[in-house]
Amino acid sequence: MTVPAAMMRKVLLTACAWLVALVVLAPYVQMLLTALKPHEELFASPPGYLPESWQFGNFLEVWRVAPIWEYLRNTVLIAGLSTVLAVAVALPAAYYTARRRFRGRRMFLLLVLVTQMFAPTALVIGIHREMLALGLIDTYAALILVNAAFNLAFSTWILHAYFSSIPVELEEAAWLDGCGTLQALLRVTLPLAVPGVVTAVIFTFITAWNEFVVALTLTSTPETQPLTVGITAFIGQYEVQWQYLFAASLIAIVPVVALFAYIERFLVSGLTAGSVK
Amino acid sequence: MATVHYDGATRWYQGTERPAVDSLDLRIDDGEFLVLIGPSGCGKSTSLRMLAGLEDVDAGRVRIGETDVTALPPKQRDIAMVFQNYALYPHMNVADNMGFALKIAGRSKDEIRQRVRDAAQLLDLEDYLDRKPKALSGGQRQRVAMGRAIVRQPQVFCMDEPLSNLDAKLRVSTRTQIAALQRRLGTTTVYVTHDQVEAMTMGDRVALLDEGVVQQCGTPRELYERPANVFVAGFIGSPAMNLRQGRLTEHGADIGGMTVPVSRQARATAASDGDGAVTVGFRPEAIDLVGEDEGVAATVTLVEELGSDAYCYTTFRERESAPGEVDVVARIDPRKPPAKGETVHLRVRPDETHVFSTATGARIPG
Amino acid sequence: MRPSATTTGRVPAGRARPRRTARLEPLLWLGPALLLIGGIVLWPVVEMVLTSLREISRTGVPRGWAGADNFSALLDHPELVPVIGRTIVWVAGIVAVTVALSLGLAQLLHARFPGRRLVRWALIVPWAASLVMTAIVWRWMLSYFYGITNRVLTDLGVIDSPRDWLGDPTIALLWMMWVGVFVSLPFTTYVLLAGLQTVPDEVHEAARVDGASRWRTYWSVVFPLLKPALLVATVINVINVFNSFPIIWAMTRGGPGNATDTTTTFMYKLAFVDQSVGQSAAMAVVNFLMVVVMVLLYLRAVRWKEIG
Repeated sequence: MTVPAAMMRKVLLTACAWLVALVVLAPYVQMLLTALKPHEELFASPPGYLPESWQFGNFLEVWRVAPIWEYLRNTVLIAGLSTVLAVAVALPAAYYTARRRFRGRRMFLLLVLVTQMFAPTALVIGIHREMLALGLIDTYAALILVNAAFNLAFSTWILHAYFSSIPVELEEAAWLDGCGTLQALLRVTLPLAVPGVVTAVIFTFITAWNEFVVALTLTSTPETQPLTVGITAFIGQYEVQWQYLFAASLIAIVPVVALFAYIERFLVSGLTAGSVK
Repeated sequence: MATVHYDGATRWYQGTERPAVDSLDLRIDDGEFLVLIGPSGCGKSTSLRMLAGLEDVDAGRVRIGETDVTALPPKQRDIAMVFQNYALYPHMNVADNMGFALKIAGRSKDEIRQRVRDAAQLLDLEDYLDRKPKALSGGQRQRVAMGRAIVRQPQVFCMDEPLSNLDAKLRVSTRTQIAALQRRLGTTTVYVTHDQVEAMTMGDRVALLDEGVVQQCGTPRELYERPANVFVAGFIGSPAMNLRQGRLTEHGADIGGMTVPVSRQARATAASDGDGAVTVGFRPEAIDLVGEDEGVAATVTLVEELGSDAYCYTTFRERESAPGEVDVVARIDPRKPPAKGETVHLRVRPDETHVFSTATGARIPG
Repeated sequence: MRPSATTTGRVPAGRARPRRTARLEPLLWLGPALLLIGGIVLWPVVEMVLTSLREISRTGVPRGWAGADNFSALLDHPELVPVIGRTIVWVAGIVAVTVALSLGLAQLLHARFPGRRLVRWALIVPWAASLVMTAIVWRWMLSYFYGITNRVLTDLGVIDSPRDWLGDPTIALLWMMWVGVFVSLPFTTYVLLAGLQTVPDEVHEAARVDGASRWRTYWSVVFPLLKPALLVATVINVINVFNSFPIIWAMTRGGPGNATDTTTTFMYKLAFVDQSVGQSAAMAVVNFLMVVVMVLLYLRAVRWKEIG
């Protein structure tokens, strides 16, 4: 009698799981459907579930009605350069703390762990004052520095964990095989840490890509505003152009979701600082 | 190929009470196979790593041939090392692993390919050259690690417990292969192990370390037959030598009622040192089971039958003066082992006892 | 450079190492990181504290020290107490519901079923997508006249006529808290999934041999093993939710008035809407102190002493 019961359980379980997926995706489906509606249909009350006339052209039109190119360029530049800076700074720190024992090592790791917990939101007033003092308001540099600094902790942790997991003997073997310190690092250790580097890069990139509060505070012109802040301009106007807003949103969301799915399995360990094994 | 010279080499880690390696003096001849053995934490691996340049030398010198390598980085020492966990580069295939050092040294592709193929042939690895280490068995990985060392044709091989990750059977066969290979290549080799069978079977000479100090260095036979002190006596041999404190008497040494023959000379030396208390050692095979009215009566507590041999664990009660029990292990004829609980009579053969000073642990010649 | 270059005990004469370089060597590797953390994370903290003690003009020009004036002005602010109360409800409500739902979700996604990979990927979307954009689409879905929520609920017969969900502060807050749960679920579930993976299969088998029911096994065997993961997920969530800004900003701007503000949006509005930078900095300092307390709790949770 247990076989039908087990079958029932499995069917029920599968149904529940798919329902969860549906609920989770619903807002984004709604985003897509809205983006495909013509302007008149948006203000039908009650609204229709599906567009009556599918306006795929909205995804092209959106580039014309708002400076999406500029926003996107800003986002890509800021996210990209923040990532390069954060990972470039995190790599030597992570390697050194993983391989050497020195005074202040624990102190440094503690500092990193603590800063991982500080969201820029909590410090946004101070950041604004600082950038004001440095004359960096409404510049890329400000956003790049802030994004890199607040993502440094995650990158350092995950790379530290990766370097720690690579046996020291591999480097020692390389030294005996005739490599110097840097050569061993580049030829043996770094190639093995690639998954960690990829995770750090993608995660930093996505966080910077989605960053909102600091950009909202520090930028005021389309020349520097990233997409997250830029699309809120659609709302500020007298009549919200939802179809374009969501078309632009989807353009921003789809690539990062794909990247995110790619690094999914490495994320948790990095985010919880190795405390959950 | 070269000699290796440790000259007072010392390694002292910060925050520890004594040096990990304390003034190590060793001379390893050209082409010699020297085994460093000892309990864990004795400094054997540290000594090896000092030679390889992976560990700082805080005092003293290490020389390879005529070159003082004390301050040289590993890459300039021309040493190949086989690690306990093999340390194969996981992102390179077998051929690249073996050829890596030659590539770093800037050798031509043809030369690298030729030398890798020669080494692979020697080690029966030709079919695996394209595989990644992940796709190899434990024994194959071990051979690749050996191959990586051989390809280099270095001055010295360093081997740090290279067999300890293999299963028991493979360990025995690989043991003989490595020893044969080393003899064939004639490369000076320093081999670290905690396994005394490896030490006894592979080494031209064996250096036994404890607490960072060489206790004795000699041929396996010397260590077995003439242990320099109580530590060596107890470490080498399995089951371990029976070591008991006793008092010198006119006939020998008395351990709880059992009289063990001790040479006249040893008795004289011990007496001149003014100490009647000595530590007496005799190996399980130095004991005979004798008739009822001879030797000392002991109760059998356990018989360990190994097929070719059998060991009899016995115990007997000490005399009233010093109540307590004495345990003695004896090798016996495996064809007629006594039963547990049975009483046997033991006698130690003359000339097969070792006498040590209880105070210093040092061997008292005799 | 060799592995123990900095742990030298005795240095023999004639081989004196360049000791000063050795001591400064860590700075070479860690320097850039320290510079970035110090300059961009720690400096704002100092700047914030200084600002909270200064009198700042509406145009942002410092006019000298204000002592505790900013703090007392903040304490006298009629909205402060309600805002703090709302923040507590906001954080406690979102985290409690998130953790409860995630426990179930993690269990569900840990089981094997067709399409598990796809469902897991679906769960990632709210985590990866921009928070503002997710909040905006919820705002759109909750719109009085044009929102799909009203349409769905009317069609299902749950409500008779459309409601202005975001018009009423209490209901708006509840909906925003739901969005808060919605975006916190993926991370929390993933942490718990990672925790579940550490529960060895033998534990389940042992419990079954002991005759324990599924529920019993979960509560007395799996749940205790999940506790470290749960603790870490909870503390990280508390910090994140506390700092959560985009949801409220995109959906109600904390309005009407300050009726749906938490301390974070309140602080922001004080600075950039009311132009009371000093008061805002005072609020920020209070906020920050609360975050510090939570970080200390977090460090306890991850048992910092055992790391490194």
